[in-house]
Amino acid sequence: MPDSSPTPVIRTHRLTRYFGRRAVVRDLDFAVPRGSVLGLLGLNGAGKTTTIRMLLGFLEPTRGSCEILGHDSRSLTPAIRCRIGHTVEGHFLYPWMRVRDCEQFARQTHLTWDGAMFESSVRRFGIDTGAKVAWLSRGQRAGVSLASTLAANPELLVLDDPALGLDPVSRRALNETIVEFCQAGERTVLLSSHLLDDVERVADRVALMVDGRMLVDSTLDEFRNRVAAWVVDSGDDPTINQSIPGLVHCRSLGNRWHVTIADPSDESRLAIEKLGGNVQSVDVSFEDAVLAYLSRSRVGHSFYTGAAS
Amino acid sequence: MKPLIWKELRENVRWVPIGLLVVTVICYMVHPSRINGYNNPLLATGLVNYFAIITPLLAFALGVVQSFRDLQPAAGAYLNHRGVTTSDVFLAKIVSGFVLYMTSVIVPLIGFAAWIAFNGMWSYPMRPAQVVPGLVFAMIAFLMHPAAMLMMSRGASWWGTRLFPLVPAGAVLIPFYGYLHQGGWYWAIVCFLVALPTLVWMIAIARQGWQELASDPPAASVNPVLKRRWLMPAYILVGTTLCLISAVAFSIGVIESTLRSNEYLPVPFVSVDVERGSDELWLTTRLQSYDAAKGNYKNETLGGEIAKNGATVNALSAAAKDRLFSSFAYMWRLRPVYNSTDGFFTASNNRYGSTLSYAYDTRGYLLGYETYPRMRWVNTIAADGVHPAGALIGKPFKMDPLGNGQSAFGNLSNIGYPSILIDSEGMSFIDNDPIALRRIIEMPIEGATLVESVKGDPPRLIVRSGTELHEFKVIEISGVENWYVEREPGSNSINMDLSRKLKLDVEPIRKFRMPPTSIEKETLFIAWTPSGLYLSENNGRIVDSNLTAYRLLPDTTAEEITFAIDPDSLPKTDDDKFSVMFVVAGMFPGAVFVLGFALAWYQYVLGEMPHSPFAEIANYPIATSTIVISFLVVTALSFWLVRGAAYRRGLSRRQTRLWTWSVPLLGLAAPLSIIAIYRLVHRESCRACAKPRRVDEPTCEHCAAAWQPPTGQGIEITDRNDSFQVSQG
Repeated sequence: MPDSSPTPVIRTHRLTRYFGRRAVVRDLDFAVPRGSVLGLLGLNGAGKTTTIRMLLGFLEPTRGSCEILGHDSRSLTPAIRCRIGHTVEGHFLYPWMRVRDCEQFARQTHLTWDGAMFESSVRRFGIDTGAKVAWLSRGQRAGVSLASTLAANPELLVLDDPALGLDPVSRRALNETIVEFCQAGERTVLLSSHLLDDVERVADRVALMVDGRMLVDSTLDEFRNRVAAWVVDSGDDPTINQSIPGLVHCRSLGNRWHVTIADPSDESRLAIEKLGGNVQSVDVSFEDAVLAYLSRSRVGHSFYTGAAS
Repeated sequence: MKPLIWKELRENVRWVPIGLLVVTVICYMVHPSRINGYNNPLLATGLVNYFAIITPLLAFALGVVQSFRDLQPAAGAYLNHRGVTTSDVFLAKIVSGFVLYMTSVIVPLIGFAAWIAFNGMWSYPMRPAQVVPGLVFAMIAFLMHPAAMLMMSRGASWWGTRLFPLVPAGAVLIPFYGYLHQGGWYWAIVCFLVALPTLVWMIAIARQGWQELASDPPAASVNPVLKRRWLMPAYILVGTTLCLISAVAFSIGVIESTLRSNEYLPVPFVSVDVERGSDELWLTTRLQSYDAAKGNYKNETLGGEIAKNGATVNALSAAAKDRLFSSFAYMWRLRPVYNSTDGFFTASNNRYGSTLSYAYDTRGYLLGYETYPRMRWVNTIAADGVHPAGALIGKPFKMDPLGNGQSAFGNLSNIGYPSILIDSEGMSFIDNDPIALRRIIEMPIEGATLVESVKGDPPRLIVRSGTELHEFKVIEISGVENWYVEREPGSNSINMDLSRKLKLDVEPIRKFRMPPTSIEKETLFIAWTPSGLYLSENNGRIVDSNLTAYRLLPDTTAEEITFAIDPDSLPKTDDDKFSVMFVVAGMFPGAVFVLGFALAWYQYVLGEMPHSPFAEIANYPIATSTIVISFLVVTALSFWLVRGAAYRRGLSRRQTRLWTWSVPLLGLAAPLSIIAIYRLVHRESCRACAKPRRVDEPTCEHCAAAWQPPTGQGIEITDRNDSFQVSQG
């Protein structure tokens, strides 16, 4: 197995977090090897941000534990924090600051600072350093946020939905910046996102959270290889009365059904054959595979028909 | 921490103009020119009064705005995820908050002080130092800033215990207000010195809360260990108890004011008096009613008897009917200043017989102000004479020589005769026409009073000096005949023209030795007779069953008169009947009753209370039993609530036991404190034993089963060997 690094940068052990009576993250066990880019995927409310907040020590786990850079997340010192770059969801910055104030504030509160890196990152997003944060577009704010994070020269980058609301050009700039960062040494990135093509472009590992649980934690290639799909001709959902081992999701395509299976075994294939009608094996893209997992947890996700599609 | 402080200053400087505006408006409002300085020149008191309301609110608001945004997840992560600690962030907020808050207070106060200094004392008795108590109060009111930050950092419900941290901080401000609003320089310095550790204490508590609660920890990690983090729990416990006591006291106040009668019902009272003519000491029962037609109080004697040594006196005996009595006069020790003062000046007082209004400057001078057509400083009276206005010159008085209208000289000066000035070194009269100071007595003085003498004669002056009482006769030396006119009921003054011409003096008459037991007493009561004086250590509304008075004859040892009062003849002042107030009073924490009982017992032992607390309780069986029953019901309810709260907070057996034991002392404050101090525990059904188990503990508290790994759905894809188990199917 490729991820059996002796010292993963992030490791969780049965990490659980409740809000009130509801478990938002439950028994999460995963590890991020050094030098990898992990795409953390999941629907809204799946527990991605809560997991990140626990990893960074902003939220204490209800049960279990998590380590980051070999240290318990509950007791991160300022020195360890400086080794971790983090951009928050929505790219929060103080609106009254100017871009140069943001840079100065970040420089004064980090142990290391690469001013040139900040300048180049900001330039890539076409930002005037004299501009007030309140005047910046969402993309420009993302640029300042990312520049501030990268200029601290972190070993680990934790990005929480950094591309949220960005235009295509800003997204590309963001992705390029992340890739460049990873190439400049053995850096690790935890990228939480809803944009599957971005993740597919920059990540080498994928972690998929559904309802607070981690269903997928592997390399991208392995994930693609272990998911298969068939198209079945049928008027009704053929899987309703038929148990199929490894069934992830069955999606309607008019009078045909797209059936996604994880780790298809002979038993699975036999069950598919038994569905009757015309059964045809099809290729599964990364996006299809992820969406199959994500759709599984959500009933009535078609806003048009109000029914599961 | 410097960049954090800079960030906080820059971010919150926008609130400073609001503070500046509010404090400037207050300064304007308390300036004597705006509020008519003749009526209320106590500038320092006015400033502290306004500050008592406004500055805690300003500090609270600043604490809220400084913490609100940075406690939001995104902003909090942005701020905290850098090379700083949570403590740095908190302290930066405190330092910058203090700077901004004090800026908004100090700048207007400096301007105000400059304005006062520019005006000088020509129009009103005022000086720049009068802003100091307000400034000190504003400083201590900053307590509300860390208290607000602590409140914001807590996750408790707004309808629950979230506001509790504000209560002790607010309560601490009350004694500071009490001392500062009339304390002057002395109490300003004392309060300043006490304010510093108090602020540090509050900041330490809020810092602990800010650090611990920022990561919303589970109950399992914070509930069991209070040992090294007792600051905040102790603070919350105090806050909760104060909340309960305040709520109960407030409820009692509301009920009392709702049930209170609006009629004036005179209540009989017992006092010692001297019968005119026989000069015998009597114990009488009187009823004082208000005569609305004459605007005066009228005393009616209901009964009484001669008080002889060793006798038991019936206070309702018919023997006292139709007799005339002289009352005892109140003699108190001289004080540096009296009640109506801000510690710098006393309230301006118009002395009858003079068109001038006098305020005492605590530096030792009487400042005379002309009040019409406008306030104008016209003279300064020092111990050595009258000086022109404009400077404080001459020998200063040792204490307020006018007694601020509250001294025993009220019954001379208040009916229009020239005022007597008195301090610890002697006594003077102010002549009004022309204004001059005349020294009439030069001797150490600790107290003085004017007592009734023969009907129609001016009152006698009794001066307390060391262990002696000196009697003086007030005389007129300019030759005005029949100068003294006894005050008639309903009449408040004599002819002003006559009064202005009078030149009063005193003539020593007799000397008396004080009984040794009375020498240390703060207050004494004196009655005059042609043959000597009577002295009593307590008078007014007597409730004691045993009394001691002294008969003083000139230059001889005092004769003690101890007598008992027939308890059946003492009027009952209160009815013992059921009231909802007593039901509510039963909700007070038991500690309040224990403390009250201990204080009552202490007073009884010292002889300040006539009956033991047990006897007092026995006198009111209905009220007492109502309170006791209510207390027992509330205590039982509190036990039940403590058990429930302890379970919901997942407390250990030891913790539950301790809290249970505390119930008799804390009452309802015990369950409330548990709710406020400890974090809520959530439970879900255990798969092994089906009982509800804590979600924050690794094992079930009932069956010790560990949490089962989640059941696999058969679709998990992982490339690690140590991942969770997948159960196929």
